Amino acid sequence: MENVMEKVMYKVDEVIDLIQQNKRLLLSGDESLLKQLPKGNWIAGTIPYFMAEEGGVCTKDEIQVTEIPEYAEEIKCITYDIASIKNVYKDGYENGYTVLIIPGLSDAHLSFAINAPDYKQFATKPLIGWISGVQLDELSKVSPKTYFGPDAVLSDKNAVAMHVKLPTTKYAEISITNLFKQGYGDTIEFVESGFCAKEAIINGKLQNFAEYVTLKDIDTRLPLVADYNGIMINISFQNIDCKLGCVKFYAPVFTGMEYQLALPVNNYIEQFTDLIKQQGIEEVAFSCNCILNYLYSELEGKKTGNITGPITFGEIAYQLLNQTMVNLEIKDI
Amino acid sequence: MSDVQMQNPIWNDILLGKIQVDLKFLAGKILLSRWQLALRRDFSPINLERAKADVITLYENNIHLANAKKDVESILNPTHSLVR
Repeated sequence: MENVMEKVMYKVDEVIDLIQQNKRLLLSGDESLLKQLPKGNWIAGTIPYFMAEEGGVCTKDEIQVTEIPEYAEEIKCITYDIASIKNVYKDGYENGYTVLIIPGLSDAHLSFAINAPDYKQFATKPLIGWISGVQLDELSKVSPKTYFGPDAVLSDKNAVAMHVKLPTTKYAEISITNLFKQGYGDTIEFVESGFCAKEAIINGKLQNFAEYVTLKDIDTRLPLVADYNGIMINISFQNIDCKLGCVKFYAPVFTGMEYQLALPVNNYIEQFTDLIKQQGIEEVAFSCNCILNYLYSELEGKKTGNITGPITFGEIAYQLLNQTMVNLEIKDI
Repeated sequence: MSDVQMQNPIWNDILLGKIQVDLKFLAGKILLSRWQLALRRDFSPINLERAKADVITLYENNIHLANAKKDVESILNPTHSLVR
C-alpha cells in the first residue's frame, strides 16, 4: 500500500508555506491553528483527532494536510449554506471528485444527512467528506467549524467543498471500510425518518424504542446496520432520552429500511488490517475515520495500516455515514 | 447503453426488489438502495421510470469504471449474477 503523501501532520508555519506556494490543500486541525492561515486554495474543518503517521493521536499543535495531486487539472472551492447545499452534486466536475466538509451540529449537517438522497444528481459524481468536530470535553463550549480558504473565513453554519477536476486518463473511486455487519437478532424498522426515534417496528411489532433498548440492555457502542445492496451502512447511537422516551442517533434512520444491531468487533486493528488487504485499497488520496471507532476501539497510539486523515464526527461517502472509514482512490483508466 | 438494454425488464425487477444482483460499484449500490426504498412507498409507473432513468444514467456515465462495467455485465447477464 502506498500513500500519496507520507508526511501528513504539519506545524502552522509549514502549512503557511504550502499555502503561499499555491498548493491546493485539504486541512483539518484545531480552530486556534486554522485561524492563523492566510487566504489560499484550501478548505478545512476543525478537529483535534487524527490518524497520523504514527497512529491515532489527539493534538492541537499540528494540522493534518492532504495535498491535491499535481495532475488534477482544476479546482473550485465553494461554500454551501442550508439552501444551496442541494447543489453539491450538480456543481462537481464531470470527471473528478468533491471533498465536502460540514460543521458538526449545524443545520447544514442535519439537512444533508436527511435530504442528500433527494438532491439533484445524488451519487452521480464521487463525493467524499466529513463532519467537523471539537475535542470532546469542549463540546458544550466550542462549536465545530469549517474554513473557506479563498477568503480565510470560518463558519459554524456553512459547509465548504473543493471540487477537483481530473484528467481524462484518471478517475476517482470511493470506497468504505466498515467492520460492522448485521447481527442475527431482531429486525428493526422505524416509523419516521430522522435523528431521533420514539417508536420502532421490531420483528413486526410496534414498540417504544427507548424501552426496547433499555430492557434488552443493548450495547449502544455497536451501531444499527442497514444492508444497501451489500454495503453495510451504520447508524450510531448517541443517547437514550428516557424522559422524552426517544433514542437519538448520529445519523438519521429512514423509514422502510430494515436495521439490525451489529455484531461485535473483537480486535479492531487486526480485523481492520485484514479488511484493507481484502479490499485491495492501494493508493489513498484522502481518508477519514469516525471518532466512535477511535473511542470505542481505543485507536489512540494505534496504526490503522498506512492510512491517515482526520478522525471525524461523521463521514461522507455520497451520503452521511457513521462508524465507518471512507477512502478516496485515484486510478488510471 | 443501447435502447434494448435500457428496456430490459431486469432493471424494473431489481428496482422493485424482485431479484438481487451482486453489485460492486458503491455509488450504484447506494443509489439503487435509495430508489428501492422510495419505490416501496410509491411504486407508481412514473416513479419507477424516474428511478430507472436515474440508475441507468449513473451507470452510463460511469461505464468506463471497472466496477460499474462489472455491474452492468452482471445486471444484463443474470445467469452469472442472480443471488436470489
